[in-house]
Amino acid sequence: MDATAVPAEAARKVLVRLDAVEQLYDRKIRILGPIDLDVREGEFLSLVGPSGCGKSTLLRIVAGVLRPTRGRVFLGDQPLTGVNRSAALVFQSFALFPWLTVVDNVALGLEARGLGVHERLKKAEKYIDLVGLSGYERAYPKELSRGMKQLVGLARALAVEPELLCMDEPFSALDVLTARTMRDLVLDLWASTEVMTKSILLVTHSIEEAVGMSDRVIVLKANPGRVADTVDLGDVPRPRRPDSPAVREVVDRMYTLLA
Amino acid sequence: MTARAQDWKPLPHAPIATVFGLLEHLRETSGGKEDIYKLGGPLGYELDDLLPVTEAAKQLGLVKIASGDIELTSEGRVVAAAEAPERKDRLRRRLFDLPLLRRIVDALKAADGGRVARKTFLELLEEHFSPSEAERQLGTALDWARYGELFDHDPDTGEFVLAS
Repeated sequence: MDATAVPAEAARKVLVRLDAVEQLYDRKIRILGPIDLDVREGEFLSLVGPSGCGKSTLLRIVAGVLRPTRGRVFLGDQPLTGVNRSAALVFQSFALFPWLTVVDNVALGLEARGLGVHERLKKAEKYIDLVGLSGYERAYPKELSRGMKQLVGLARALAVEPELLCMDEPFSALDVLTARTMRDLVLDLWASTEVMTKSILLVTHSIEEAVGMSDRVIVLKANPGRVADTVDLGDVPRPRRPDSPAVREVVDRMYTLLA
Repeated sequence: MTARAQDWKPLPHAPIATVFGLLEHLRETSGGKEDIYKLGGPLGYELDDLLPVTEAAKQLGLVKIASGDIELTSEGRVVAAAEAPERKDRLRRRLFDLPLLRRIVDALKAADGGRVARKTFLELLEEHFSPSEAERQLGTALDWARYGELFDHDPDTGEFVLAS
């Protein structure tokens, strides 16, 4: 990306803002927060931390599928009251319908957005093509490898052309070689002019993955979930090799923080 | 169709995405060449799981394996660096060179409407493999053929269909 064309991180428009958000269990045990968090336009933001740090909970709050016990959530300058319609989700477990073909799984989310049948298929085809799945349109999920299933999940999320793509551990259920291909693909798509979605929120337990991909990484600690550090990586060019000094330094710092 | 043994060289059961992962790994971490026994460790792979992936890359002409080393071929280097559409184009040609895929495509081209019952191929394969392995062979063949857009399976009629 051309540095002059990109506004400084802090100057970017805020898509979703969490204000003093807290999650309590059984109304008294604090499992998360209070946390302030901005998801900004055009950024690749990662939440990283050990299990129990509340990273998936935060993602679900941003997507509007979970209401925090306390605190406020804004979409732009409006309070978010229901599901966040400008966000789409990709799940670790793929969450595909086994009785639907690839193209029908991808087109499903478009029906809910009120598109006609012709338009739905056209859009589904476009995103199936972009993730490299053309040829598999009529396949059923059970015929696909895990990597292919996650590509369907990704195409389905992108097809609704959300402003924000929320991915919850999308590579964790994949073998290492497949995960590697998928990370490259997500970065390619994010940079592609064909894809409308320009903001990504990634939840991962892998520090290396977060540092390898993101503009900004929020490091969370557990019990209760809270922010330990926010690291700006906007200046580190991609592709980022895991053994490069800049990457190693940030990764080491984060491990120290969480140790 | 009369089949000779070499026409049914078994396909290794590896998803295409893992083959690309292997190419990218070789390209980035070892300048295109590595001891094959060293591959498993850093990737978290057991050798048994890795072998179908290296075999698939070899059958597709993307790597050479000799005296314990695995090395990208010149085509392998190009594919490793290419973006999705170019990868698909290049792989499509390679896939067509695999005996099992070629035989299926040839049979479909010769058939009315480019359609042949899946069962026909299964029965042919069962002359050379156990029933369960014949089923797996056909499954992998279909998976790769879909990636290369060579043919598809029509679940309504139980036929393989030549890609248009």
